[in-house]
Amino acid sequence: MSDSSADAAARTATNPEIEPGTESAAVGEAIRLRSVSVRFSIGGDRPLIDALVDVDLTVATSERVALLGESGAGKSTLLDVVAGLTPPTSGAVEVLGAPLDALRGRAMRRHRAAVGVVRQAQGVPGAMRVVHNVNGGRLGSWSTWRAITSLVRPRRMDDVERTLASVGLAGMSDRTTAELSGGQQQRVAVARALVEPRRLLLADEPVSAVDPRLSDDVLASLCGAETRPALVISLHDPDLARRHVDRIIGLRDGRVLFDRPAGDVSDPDLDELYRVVPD
Amino acid sequence: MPQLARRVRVAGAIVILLGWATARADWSTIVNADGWSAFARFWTSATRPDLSSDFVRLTWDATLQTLAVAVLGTVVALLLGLAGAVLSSGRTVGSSTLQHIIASVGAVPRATHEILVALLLVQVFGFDPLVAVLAIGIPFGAVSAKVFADAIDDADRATFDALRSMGASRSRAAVYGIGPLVRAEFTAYGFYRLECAIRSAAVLGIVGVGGLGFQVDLSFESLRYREIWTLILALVLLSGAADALSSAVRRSRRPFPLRWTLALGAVAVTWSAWQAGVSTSLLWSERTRRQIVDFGRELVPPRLGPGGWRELADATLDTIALAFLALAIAVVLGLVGAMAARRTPPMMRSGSRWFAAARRTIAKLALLLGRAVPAPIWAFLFVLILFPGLWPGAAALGIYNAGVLGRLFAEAIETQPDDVERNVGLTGATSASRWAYGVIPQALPRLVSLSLYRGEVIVRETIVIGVVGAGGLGQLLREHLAARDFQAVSGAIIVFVVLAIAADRLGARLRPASTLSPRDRRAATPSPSEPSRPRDRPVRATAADRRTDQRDRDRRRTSVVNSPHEG
Repeated sequence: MSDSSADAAARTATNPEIEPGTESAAVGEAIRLRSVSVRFSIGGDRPLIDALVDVDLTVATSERVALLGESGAGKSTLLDVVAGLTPPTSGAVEVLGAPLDALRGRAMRRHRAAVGVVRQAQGVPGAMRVVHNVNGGRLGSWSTWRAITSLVRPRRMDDVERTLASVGLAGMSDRTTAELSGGQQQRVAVARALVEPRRLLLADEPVSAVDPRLSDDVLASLCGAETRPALVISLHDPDLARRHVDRIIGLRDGRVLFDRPAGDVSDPDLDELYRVVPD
Repeated sequence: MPQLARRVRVAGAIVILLGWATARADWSTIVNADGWSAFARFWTSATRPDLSSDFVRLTWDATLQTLAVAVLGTVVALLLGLAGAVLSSGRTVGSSTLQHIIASVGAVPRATHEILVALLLVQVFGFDPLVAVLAIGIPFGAVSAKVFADAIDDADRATFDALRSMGASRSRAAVYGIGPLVRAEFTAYGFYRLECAIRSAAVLGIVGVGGLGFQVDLSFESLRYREIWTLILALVLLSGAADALSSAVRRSRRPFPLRWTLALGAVAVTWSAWQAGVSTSLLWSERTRRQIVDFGRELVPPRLGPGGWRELADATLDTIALAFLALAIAVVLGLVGAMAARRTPPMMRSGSRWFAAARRTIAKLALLLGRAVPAPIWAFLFVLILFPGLWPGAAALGIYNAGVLGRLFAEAIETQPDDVERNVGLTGATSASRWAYGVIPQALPRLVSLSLYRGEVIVRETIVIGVVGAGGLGQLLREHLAARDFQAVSGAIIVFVVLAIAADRLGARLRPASTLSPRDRRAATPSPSEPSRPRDRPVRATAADRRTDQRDRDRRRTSVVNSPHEG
């Protein structure tokens, strides 16, 4: 695909004023994966690892989806593929109506600015103040000049404060991030994803270090973002998933084991998902 | 068995090289008995430095001058280094072509020495402090660029990737995602560079651009040894203060606020520019532009000097022999110094505590003296008692670098865990066998690594020694400069730069073999079976990548502190 058409695709994808359905069928979908596979080498002569095998998946606009599965099932890889951090070994990925492999340069950055990401390795540098870490989520729409001067005199403090309050970190914006507890740092990463209006949120175990009551609050703020973004979140706690999302996808060994509305996921489903394979 | 064969080969190579270098340096006529009285007089004046108020004032001014030049040189180096790093790091640029171009352009100034740059700049700017500032700034800047770029590439990628996935450009993601991770390291490195720049600024005085080195040179010519000791004392105090400052910065837990750093930097630069009397207008004047063009024309095309290939080959071999002898002296004396200067672990102490403390203090002072007195001054001294040839230069470089290596060795030994030594000690071993079984084997890879780094520095420093007349390419260069045969000058420079780059390559090849196990090395090479990665898109690091990253970082951390240009 040529650059200009990629650009057009990105504009469609990130322009919220275009009514769903008026452009193409893809606009109604936040994510579409077609037979996506990813294999990794972990170096040396060790065998390749199939992180994802032939995954087909569609997530509708404003739909909230949870990924469940044991460690190593492919949840993080799936999220990284959608975030454009891991290119699939084979298969096609469309996010917000744009095929990821066609996006380059400015068009790619504009596309990505509409996606909020919370990764498992949160990446909130401890030496930075909280406000700067949260503002890091805005770099897609800021100029480099604005980004640098904000480090001397922080911009948009009120937005930062509001976002921090929504994840239970009111009044923390001036603290050095390293002084915060692990769970608090995790919520700084969530605030960074939420600080801009997004059309898609991808969160990889965003509450793994957060206590149960606060977990509900953090999930509520992820699900209750004003722009009603689509949400894909990986979780370890099935009950938390059932309380907050519309749909649950079970992953096992890189394959989709089940994919159904949250209310329909039964306990036998979960037993199957976390079953210990007898050797 | 292959292990043993390897050791035999290495030992054999060292013996052969040493033999060759010694033969080349001519072992027969070495000590010049006539010079002993002057040599002895120099050392006896150590107790009576010239403290007359006039000379103290002059020393004070020279010290401030040296400090100012060092500060400006460091600032230029760090700015160049940051710009170069941002342009040559794969993280910030992404395009591998530009990255490769910048990296290879940087190799040339990295392979030079401050003195060499100064000698050339003097031809353009005349004797101006600006020459010293640029002479420090350019080679240090090239080294800093490499160190910074490596640090940027090695920094944990989690934040960078997360910011990129939310639409940040490479540069913005680098500012928010990598900047805070490397800031402390960069600051510490900056102060470490300042420490080196002070020594360098003193040496540069000897080519005539003012400061402590210049005064030492003057006093030496008029044989006023007591004055020299005053100046050496000032230099020791100044580099000691910089040393203390830089280790305080390294140890501090909290990062200094950004705006305070900027403000302090501005004050330091303003004061230094005023103190040194640097005329930046010189940089942009019409006359300078013409001079640069003219001088550039005189340098090309490079050709051989009047002595032809033979002269050039001789000078090159002399330089290699000089560097090798100096390294041998530095390693042996440095190791002895480090052993004596080391704080013995509490359990292993025996004998009089007072004696041990005295031994340590004396060893530390000796090492400090070795590295505080610039190598050219050591050369002046050894020229008094050794016949001209390679020995004065080898001894001078050897002693100076023994001071540096001794401190690095002692640090390496003191920071390693002492449980092996304790176990050996529990068997009732003597102190010598404790060293042989409990300390050296464990420290050996690092000691070898440090020595190889030092070897690379020594190759560059031979130019300083040569410039004061102690043989090798530096001396050839000086002769060509004196004859204003600039085409021959550029010929000699090319050979010198190639030699320095070859030394770096050789060091890099030998180093991993001695500091990494074969398994580590295998893991560090990319696997061919990895999924193909479209360029210009971040890729998730595999677990093995991350482990390799960590190992590289550990290794690099050593290299930051002991990087080739310390001097």
